[in-house]
Amino acid sequence: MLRVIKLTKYFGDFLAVNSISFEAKEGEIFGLLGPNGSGKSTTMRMILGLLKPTWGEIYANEIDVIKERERAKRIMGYVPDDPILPERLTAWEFVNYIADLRAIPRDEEREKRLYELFDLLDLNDAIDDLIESFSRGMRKKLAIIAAILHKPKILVVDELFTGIDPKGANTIKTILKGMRDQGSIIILSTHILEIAEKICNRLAIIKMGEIIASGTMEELRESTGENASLEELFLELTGGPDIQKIIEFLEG
Amino acid sequence: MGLRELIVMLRYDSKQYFRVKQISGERQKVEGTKKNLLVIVFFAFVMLIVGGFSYFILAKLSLDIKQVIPLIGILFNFVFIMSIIGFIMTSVTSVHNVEKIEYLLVQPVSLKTIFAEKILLYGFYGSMLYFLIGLPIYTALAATYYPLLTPIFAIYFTIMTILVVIGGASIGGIFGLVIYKFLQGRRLLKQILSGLATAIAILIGSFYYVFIYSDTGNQFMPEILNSLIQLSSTFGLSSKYTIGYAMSNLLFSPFIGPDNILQIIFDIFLVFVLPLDLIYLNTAICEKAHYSGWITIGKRKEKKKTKRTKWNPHLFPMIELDPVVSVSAWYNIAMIKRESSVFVSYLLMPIRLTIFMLLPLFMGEEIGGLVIFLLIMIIYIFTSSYANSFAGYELVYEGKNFLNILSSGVDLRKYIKGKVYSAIPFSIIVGIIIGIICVILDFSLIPTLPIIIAMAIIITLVQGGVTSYYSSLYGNFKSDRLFLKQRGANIQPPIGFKGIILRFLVSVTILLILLGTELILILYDIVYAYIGLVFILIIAKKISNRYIAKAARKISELETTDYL
Repeated sequence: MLRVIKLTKYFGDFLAVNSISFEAKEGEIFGLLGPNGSGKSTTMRMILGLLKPTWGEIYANEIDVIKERERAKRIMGYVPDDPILPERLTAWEFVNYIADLRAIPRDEEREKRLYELFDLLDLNDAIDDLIESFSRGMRKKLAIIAAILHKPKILVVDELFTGIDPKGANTIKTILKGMRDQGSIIILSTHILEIAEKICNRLAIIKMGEIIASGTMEELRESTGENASLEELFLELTGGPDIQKIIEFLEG
Repeated sequence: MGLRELIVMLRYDSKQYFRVKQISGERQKVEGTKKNLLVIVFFAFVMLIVGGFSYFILAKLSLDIKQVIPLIGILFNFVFIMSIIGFIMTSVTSVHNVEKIEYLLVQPVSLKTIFAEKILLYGFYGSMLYFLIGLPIYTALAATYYPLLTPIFAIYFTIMTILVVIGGASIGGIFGLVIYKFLQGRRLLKQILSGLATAIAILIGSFYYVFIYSDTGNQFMPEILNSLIQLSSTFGLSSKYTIGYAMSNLLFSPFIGPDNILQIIFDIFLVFVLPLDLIYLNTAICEKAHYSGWITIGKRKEKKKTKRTKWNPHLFPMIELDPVVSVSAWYNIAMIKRESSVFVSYLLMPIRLTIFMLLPLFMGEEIGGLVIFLLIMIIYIFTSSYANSFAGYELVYEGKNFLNILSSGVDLRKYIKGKVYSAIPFSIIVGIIIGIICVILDFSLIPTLPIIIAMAIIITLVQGGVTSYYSSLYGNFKSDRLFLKQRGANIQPPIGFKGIILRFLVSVTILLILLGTELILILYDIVYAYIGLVFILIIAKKISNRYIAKAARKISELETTDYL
């Protein structure tokens, strides 16, 4: 289980995350939604042990992430929105680099798993190419391989589907669901609300560093009293666009 | 810190930076593998020559090692100080690049290990030059004392040099972090300091050339060396309690026997223990700074609503150019100015070139009447250099932008013309300065002042046009101006050697004809020179436009076939 308790982060006097608490259980895809600059990335960075919270606690499978960062990172994987990878390594060298750092034994099983992942994500033809020649989508696929090659118990993904082709997106969705069914926790941050609605078991909507709504889709609908889509709920909670202004602009 | 992870990171990073074997992938070949191999061969060759020569000399020479120890100590102290300064610069320019290693930060590896690996890598990289000369000389000396143990002495020297360099780098890293934090949110101050540092470096480098070429420099060499040694002593660099002395003492003591055992113990602490402690201190501070978010907290300024005026950039006051040319010129200058060190490099680098090319011609000679010729040469070097930088390099650095420019329906010829024109204001300033110097030297030259300024414009136009064309033919459009942001790198000329030579030959031929004609006219009658100048300016503009059009065609062709 991933437990986040009263997580708070100040940057100087700027409050980026304000006392966020939630739990994500095994076999669950938990969606973190919110407008740009709402504090999603800061929250994820704290969960991943990249940033120290000002206050609060994080437990990943009962491991205190703040006190035992390296231990917690062993069971976590991360796919950033725009992965920056070592350009001068080949794809094969890079995944082996990560596997070596994670002390995965250099045996046939490791090699087989890596080849399977390359095959699943359609990267076989680029396996010996330098990362600097990769497109954004290919980099993202490679980052996914690096994030799941050690079968993480908790996978944190940021805008996973941007830049990925439809076939790749479908494969990734299937992989995520498969991992969830095998008991992994997936923390997913996305702006594509249709995907969040389809694959997330539970959701939290963050605005200005605070969770303003959380629960399953049904619970969110009940709280607003409307049988709306996630997009409509999201816009209602976070504030939709000023339609009058848009019309005025279009009418010139 | 994890030793296993450290070794893994070093192994893969050396693969990244020093790859000598070509990859088997088809999408892209690794550039520079041959170059890396050549560098290694060159290194080995130089070391062999230096080592052999040193052995020959040292075997015949009876060296008083006791006297050598303090002098070499000063040298190693300089190495230590240079490592500190070098890593301050590296740290200041690369702290914000920590996102580039985020894929490492999420791995179950201590942050200290990750930062330690970066310093170690710098240690290897920064020690290369010292290995090139120092290692063969020391190994040759060791061979004259203990021929069988020479390889062990070579390893001994290598380890010590790396330790001293990374010791300095660790201190520099801490300073760099503090400076980075201080400069965060103070963009203007950062730009001023970075520009100032570049200017000082270029001027010191130029002075160095003057010193090398000048006869007086050679005469005073021993005196200056003595003064430097005295100055170093004043600052305590010859002290027995410095890391440089300690290293020197440890290196040479095996040949003459230890003088003072307590001093040796102290030296071992300074060379083998202190640098490791310093690395630990550096990595602990880096870890704290990054994990706490301290380094990312910028100074939040109160947002003031500024009233914006109508945007209408003008390259020259009172002169209305085509909007595309104006905007392109404004954009070019703005982009260069935003990297103040690049801007200063572009403006001042010709000083070094001027000294490098002209000083050997005139050293020890009476310049006399040649002074005007010398000044005109300086105009050529400066203005052609500006044209190369503003129209050549900057055109190539925009490789990724051409798709946007072409798809927005902009006339690429006008866009390139803007780049060429953006160099003109700087060339005019050089023309004015040189023109005024000419007039001061010989007041009768005052009527030629407008001609000198026009000459600067002509050179910029022709050289800019020709350069843009040869850049489109031989430019590496994937190169990035922001090389400075990367460790150990410098601004790289992005145009191939063949392109540089061809560009030079073509533009010099055209300029010789144009400026030669003008010179003849000046000698004949100044009135004819003024009339001729108008025609020459028109011809120069036509030639420039012709080459710019060729460059635009070539780039359009490349964009549709090679996906820049």
